[in-house]
Amino acid sequence: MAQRELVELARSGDRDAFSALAASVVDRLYAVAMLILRDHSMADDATEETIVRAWRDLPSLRDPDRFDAWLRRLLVNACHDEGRRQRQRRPEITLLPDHEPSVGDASVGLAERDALERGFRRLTPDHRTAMVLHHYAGLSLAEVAESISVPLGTVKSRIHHATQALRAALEADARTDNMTRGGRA
Amino acid sequence: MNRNNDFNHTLQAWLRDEAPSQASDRVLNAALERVATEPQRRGWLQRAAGGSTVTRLTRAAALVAVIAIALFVGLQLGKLAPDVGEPSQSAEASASPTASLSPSPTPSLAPSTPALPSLSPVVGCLDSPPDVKVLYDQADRAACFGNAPLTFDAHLAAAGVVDCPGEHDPAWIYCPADGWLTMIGDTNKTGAPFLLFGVDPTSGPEVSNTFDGNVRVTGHYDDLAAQTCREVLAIPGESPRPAAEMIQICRQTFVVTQVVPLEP
Repeated sequence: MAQRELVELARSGDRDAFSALAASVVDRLYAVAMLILRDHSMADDATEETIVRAWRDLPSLRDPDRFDAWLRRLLVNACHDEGRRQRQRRPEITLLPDHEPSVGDASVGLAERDALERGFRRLTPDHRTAMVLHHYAGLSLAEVAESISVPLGTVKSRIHHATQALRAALEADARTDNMTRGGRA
Repeated sequence: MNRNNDFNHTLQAWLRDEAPSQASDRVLNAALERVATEPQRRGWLQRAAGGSTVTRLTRAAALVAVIAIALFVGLQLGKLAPDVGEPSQSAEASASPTASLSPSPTPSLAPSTPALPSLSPVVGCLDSPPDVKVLYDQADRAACFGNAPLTFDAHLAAAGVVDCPGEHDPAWIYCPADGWLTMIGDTNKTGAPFLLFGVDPTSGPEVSNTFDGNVRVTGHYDDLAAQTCREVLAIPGESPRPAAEMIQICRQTFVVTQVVPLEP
């Protein structure tokens, strides 16, 4: 069954249709939540919350064709809420890396990945959200602005600053790497 | 430009690699378990328009029957009135049916404030009398609690970014963003429900100095300001919302009138 039909049925209270709809979007939601929140448990909770809110508020969605954009807004809000909740629960939250950073003689690719990982974690959730929606979900800047309900100029500014920060992280890493190699030589 | 493109390609490749391809089954199962018991939020217009064709036809037939009976009774009263000799009495009786209606039965709650005429009958309560502890679960909170003052203890936090496309007036009640409340006890529970609330900027309390603390909060649904709620600018690509629907949405906003910090 097409997504539009599922949305219409779910909107009128059909739980089976909603289950099918949720199953078709859960992986996408989780991937975006994970990239924004950088924590499996928080991404789990944000994804679950998004699905429940989608069910609850689906009757308010007027145009079924706008389901994806509407769902994205719910997800972004759920990620923000989850981040806030966690900050309250754990005042000095430490985000542990999902994998140990590569060390020493790793290839350039791996070093770059580690630098990106560290740089990305240092971005604020707002900056990460803009970067993920633009560079991962493939949304235009205007679509990102709509998804996070901020003016287009704000999105441009967030993308610009996040890009600068990540570039700086990569360049710093490259400098450290060169110095290390130089020192060894 | 090349430098930009190279960086973007690197970043995009990294994001693609970092993104998990699958959510765990637990996430979907947990969500669907909650969905199984969670009602959908519907305005009264949507409830009236919703349902299958058969349901709608049945509803329409029932409405026609009610109108027919009302007309019949009206005609009978009209015939009887001259015999009584005081025709104005029946007119008065039918003109003042519900102006003093208390919007909800709330014996377990604080005393009612002067009641507003309720737009819909008391249909939103899951239980009777309604329990403030299940405030979040009531499908139609304005219908259930009316505008009776509700007092409970909660954790209060800043609302952050609240997503309300379009333009509305009064915005503070259509798009409550003054903070959110989590009932104490639920605060540490994953997925605990929370309640966004509004504060009347002209007469409400200052709440920001109690952010991130526990408070005893008093507020109500069905605020008088809801009656003036309107959409100034519709959501792009969507048709303007009818005035009655706007009022109904605004009636569902919890309006905080008093906040007292609790001892840590």
